[in-house]
Parts: sequence; C-alpha cells; structure tokens
Amino acid sequence: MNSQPLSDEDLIRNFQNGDAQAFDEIVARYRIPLYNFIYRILGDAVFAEDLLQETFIRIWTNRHSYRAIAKFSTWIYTIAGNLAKSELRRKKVHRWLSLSIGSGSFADDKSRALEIADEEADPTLDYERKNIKQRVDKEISRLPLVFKEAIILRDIQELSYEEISIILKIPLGTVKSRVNRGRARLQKRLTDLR
Amino acid sequence: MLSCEHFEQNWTTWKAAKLAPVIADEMLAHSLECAHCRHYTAETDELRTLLEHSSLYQPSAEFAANLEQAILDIRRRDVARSMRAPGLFPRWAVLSAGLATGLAIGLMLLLPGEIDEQPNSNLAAVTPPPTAFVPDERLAEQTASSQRADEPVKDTLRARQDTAVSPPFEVNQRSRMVSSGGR
Ligand SMILES: [Zn+2]
Repeated sequence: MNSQPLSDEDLIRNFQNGDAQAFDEIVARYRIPLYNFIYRILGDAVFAEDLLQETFIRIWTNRHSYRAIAKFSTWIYTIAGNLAKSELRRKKVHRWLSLSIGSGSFADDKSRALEIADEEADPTLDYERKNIKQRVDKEISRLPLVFKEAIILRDIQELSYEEISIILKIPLGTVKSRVNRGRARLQKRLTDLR
Repeated sequence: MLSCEHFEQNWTTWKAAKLAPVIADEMLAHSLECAHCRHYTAETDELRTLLEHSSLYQPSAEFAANLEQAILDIRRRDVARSMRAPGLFPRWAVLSAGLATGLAIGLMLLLPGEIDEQPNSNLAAVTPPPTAFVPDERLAEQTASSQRADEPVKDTLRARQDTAVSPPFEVNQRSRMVSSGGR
C-alpha cells in the first residue's frame, strides 16, 4: 500500500469515482481550517458550524462539478467563503431591520466556539498568553472584512496569493495590497503586545 | 535583481523554506541590501508570531454525526424523488414488465431442469454487477419503510473514529444528485 498521503485532488477524484471514504478524509482535513475561516468571518459559533456542514454537503452533492483544472482548496474555500459572506449580509440586513445594537461582536460572542482542547484546557497556559490570544483574536475580528479575509487566508491558513485571488475573485495585486494593509492595521493595533 | 514587490510576494513561502534555492538566495541577498524589505521582514515576522497566538477553534463533538445524518437525509430524499419521478415508460408498462420478470423467474425456479443448459443468460440481468458500491436499492428499502428510517446505511464518519477498518461507504454512483449550486 502506498504510504504517501493522497493529495486533495486525488481524494476528490476518488470521491467522484464513488469512494466515499475519500469524502471522510476531505472532511477530516478541512473541518478545522474551514471552521476557523468561517467562524472568524461570522463571529458566531452556531452559524459557523451550520455553514461548515452546508459547505461539506455542497461538496457532496456537487462533487461532479469539480474539475481537476482547479485546486481543490480554492474550490472548497470559495464555497465556504460565499456561504459565510451571504450569511453576513443576511445578518446585517436583519440587524438593520431589527435595529438591534451591541450584538455580534466577536470578542463578546456568548456562543464562543470551542478552542482546540490542548490549548484551552491547559492549566499551564499563563494568564499573559491567554490575554495575548484574546487580544489577537479581538483585533483580527475588528478588521474590516476585506482585510480580515485576506489576513486569515494568508497569514493563518497560509494559502498562496494565487489561491486567495481565486477564492476571493480579485486580482493578485489587490490580494497583496489587502494582505499588506491588513497586516499594517494589525501591527498598529497590536503595538503594545510587541 | 528581485523587486521589493516580488520580495513581499515570496516572503511567506521563503519563511516556510519552500522556495527554490536560487530564488531563496535572491531573497536573502535582497533582504541584506534593501532597508525597506528588512523592515518589512522584521514587522511581518513579529506579526506572524503574534498571529500564532490566535486561537484555533474547532466545531462541536457532534459535528461529524450531524453531517453524516444530513447527507443520509439528502440521499434518502433523492432516492425517494427518483422513485416518484416519471420514467421513460408509463407506470403501467413498468409494472407489467416487473410482473413479467417475476413470472419468468418463478417459472425458472419451478422448472429448473428445462433451462439448465443456459443458466447464465438470464441470470446476468438479475445479478448485481460486481461493484464495491452497493447501489441505492437498500437505501430505497429504508426510505420506503419509514419505521426503519433511523437505521444508518453506513456509519463511516463515526466508524472512522471507532475503527481503522471501516466498511465501504455506499455511494450512489449512477444517479447524480441535484445540486443546489456550489458557486
Ligand atoms: Zn526591497
């Protein structure tokens, strides 16, 4: 048996050919990165999980529309990003209509998502580090969406500029400029931590 | 000579030591010569160290089971829809064909001696193809008997956590599912 892990593209091809365990592997690989991406855009754990499920359902039902010319990661992030942004627009309209105030702040989100256990449950994680984490999370959440998504995809998910350009459907130059401007804003806001 | 723009563009890949050696050398040379890119490196390094402190979130423990259930529901719905959908032939024709096939099989079973010479000619039509994908018949059965609707077809997502040797998942390869639009 081949010990080399299959590429995402191999997995989706196998899945298209009927191997549903390949789908399980795709879920295993993308569950956490996609969840972090969606959650950071929405700032709502419950909706983020719903949209994560919807993303995988769309992968399942639309598996035959994936073409090997595209990188699988760009396809799945595009689906997740579109869902998250639609939800964000829907929430904005809803908020505007209901004129509610003071809701939706990521940092104050009551339904905070679960953090990866080894970090959250670690009693040795000192107060200062927890504080830094909260600050960094909060400042990322406060970025305008265009910078936030660029920073998340580039500096947290570590996708290439080309991939981000495809996912966000913006020119390469715009991606670079958004990443740089997003970084500059974050650097400015996190000055005291440096 | 590498431009500052290219330097910034290659920066993350360079830091991950994933650049081709020639370009990595150019990056190093540029960072030594260019004050702007030295500053960029220092700032970005610092920021990324901070970003490493950002949280890594995970969905709830029920996520896998919920997803599996959602997909199973979709498959059941699709199977039910395909069972209801008007076919190529009118329903009475399909029913008569089914009746005729049943009669033929009944005759074959009752009079085995007379057709022993050519046992495989008709069998091919009723034997399922040797494939790993158990088709939707079982799913259809389950869909039809709603009492047993909660019986899972295959528990792959959970099985995956329980055991390393999970049974093959059953995928409907033939009937393509109706998409709700991925893009
Ligand atoms: Zn430079």
